[in-house]
Amino acid sequence: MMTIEVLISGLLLGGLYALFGLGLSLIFGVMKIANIAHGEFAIGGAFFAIAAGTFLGVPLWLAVAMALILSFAIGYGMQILLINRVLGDDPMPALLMTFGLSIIIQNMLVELFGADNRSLDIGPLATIGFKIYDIAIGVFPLLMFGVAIALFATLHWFLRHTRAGRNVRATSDDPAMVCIMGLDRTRIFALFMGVSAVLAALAGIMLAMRGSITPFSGAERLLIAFEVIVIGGLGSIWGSLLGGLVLGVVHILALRIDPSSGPLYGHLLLLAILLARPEGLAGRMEHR
Amino acid sequence: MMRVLLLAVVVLLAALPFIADRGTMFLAMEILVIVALSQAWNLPAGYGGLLSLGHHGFVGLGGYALYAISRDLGMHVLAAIPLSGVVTGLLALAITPVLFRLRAVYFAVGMWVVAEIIRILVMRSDWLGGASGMPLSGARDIPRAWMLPCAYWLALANAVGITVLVWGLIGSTFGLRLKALRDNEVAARSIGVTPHKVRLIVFVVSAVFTGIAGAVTYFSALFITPLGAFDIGWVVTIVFVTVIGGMGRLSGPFLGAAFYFLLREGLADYGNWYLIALGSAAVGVMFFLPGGVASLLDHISFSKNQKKEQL
Repeated sequence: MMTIEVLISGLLLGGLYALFGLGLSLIFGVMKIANIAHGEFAIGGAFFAIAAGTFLGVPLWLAVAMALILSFAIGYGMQILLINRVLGDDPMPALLMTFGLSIIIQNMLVELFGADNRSLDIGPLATIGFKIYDIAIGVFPLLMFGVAIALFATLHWFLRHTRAGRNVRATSDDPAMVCIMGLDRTRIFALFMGVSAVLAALAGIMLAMRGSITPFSGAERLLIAFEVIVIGGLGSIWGSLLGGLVLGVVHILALRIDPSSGPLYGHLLLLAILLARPEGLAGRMEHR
Repeated sequence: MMRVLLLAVVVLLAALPFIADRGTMFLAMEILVIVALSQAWNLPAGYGGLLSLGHHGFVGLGGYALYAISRDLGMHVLAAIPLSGVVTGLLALAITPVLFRLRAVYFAVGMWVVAEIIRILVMRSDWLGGASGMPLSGARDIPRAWMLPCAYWLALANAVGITVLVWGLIGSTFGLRLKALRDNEVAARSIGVTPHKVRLIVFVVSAVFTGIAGAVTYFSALFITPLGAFDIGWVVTIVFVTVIGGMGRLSGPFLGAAFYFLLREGLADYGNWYLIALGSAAVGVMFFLPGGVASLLDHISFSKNQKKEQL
């Protein structure tokens, strides 16, 4: 029974991890760069929601909505103003720039909110649950999992079945050709950085509802997102879902067997995957 | 002429412990450590395109290696410092089979993950004092008054050593191979450059000097904790210093370190604001001056020598 319980809570947590990975994977896929500030987007989004709730006194749903809109604006603005201008064949300038931005955001958060633990209070929803055959399942983790799956499905539908999604895939495959066809790829990139920031913020908000965060929580979220997409394999967003679920189960399992290990076994899993299957669990062979 | 001048500067710096007070000397040592770290990071990153965000792992490793060697092997603490660099280099060598499967951004973040693994393993190890850290048992090898001067001289030797080494490497055919790999791997391979070997050498050299810099820092601190030794702040400083100073340029780490310490000391009363200012400066440099402050000097004077250095 315990194994099934571990498996279920691992999968539910994995949904949240997958959501962290999804935003990063989009940026990787569309722009071929790594957004080191992804973790700070997540934590920053959660702090916006907390600030809107405490200082403006608005209800939770409105605070979350405001945080998501602000996150989109920040992601979009950063891409238009800064990152677009250092994009090129070499992904390193963008990497360094997002690294710089992540440190700026992180320390801004410290200055604004202090370094204490914060969380988003969701009232009784945090504790209610039900039992199936003696296995306890929390309503909120299940809800988070549902949100994650729904977002994956929405993105899949958008990329595969809409005209705008086709443009995005074309930009990812051959940016020069897309320019010839008259598409403005800088705007597509900015749109996706905005969407990626919203996905990150949503994951960060759910993290703050589930537990607590500090301004320094971003780095660990970035590493989780990175592990999710490498373990799952690049090439499809569904790889990220698989990677998230696997990582979630490994983390929960490690927590039961070796409580002081933290994210150690997730990190080791990444190295093991790189040795045994560098293209990831669901990925195609690709040059990295 | 230039070389004589530089030699004179080094001799002058070596004489600092006889004239400066403790505070100045401590700051000078810190500057030299940051210069050495940035120079060591710049070798694979700036010249070779092998950018790591996990060098804090090597800083911590070097520090812990010193503490373990001086306690368990009974070796004199001054002899243990270079050896700590060797230990760090060997560990770097050991992780290359996995890490070198990664390229570009994947390598950068992969290194970060490796540093995290090392940090967690050290925190869980009772042998290394666990999460609360441990004192330097080799401290009794040296009279107290000589601790700081010794740390300073070691930091100076390390900074000069890596600078001379990078200068020598970059001027040699090896340096040409390294830069060829950074600029176009396929073309470099086609003329007989072996990517794996070249990258392995610069990566391990970088780890050795980073490890020594870590050992020197924690030699002067007399106490080491995993939280401080494996702090991502090390990488933040290294990256900002090198980017602002100029990646792939010998003078970059010096100019960047000067900028860093001026900013940090100037904003000392304003908490974390110096990091925000530093990050903004780095982003601004990438934007307006991709070659860093060092390239600004090239703009001012177009002597033949500097054009050569630019290559």
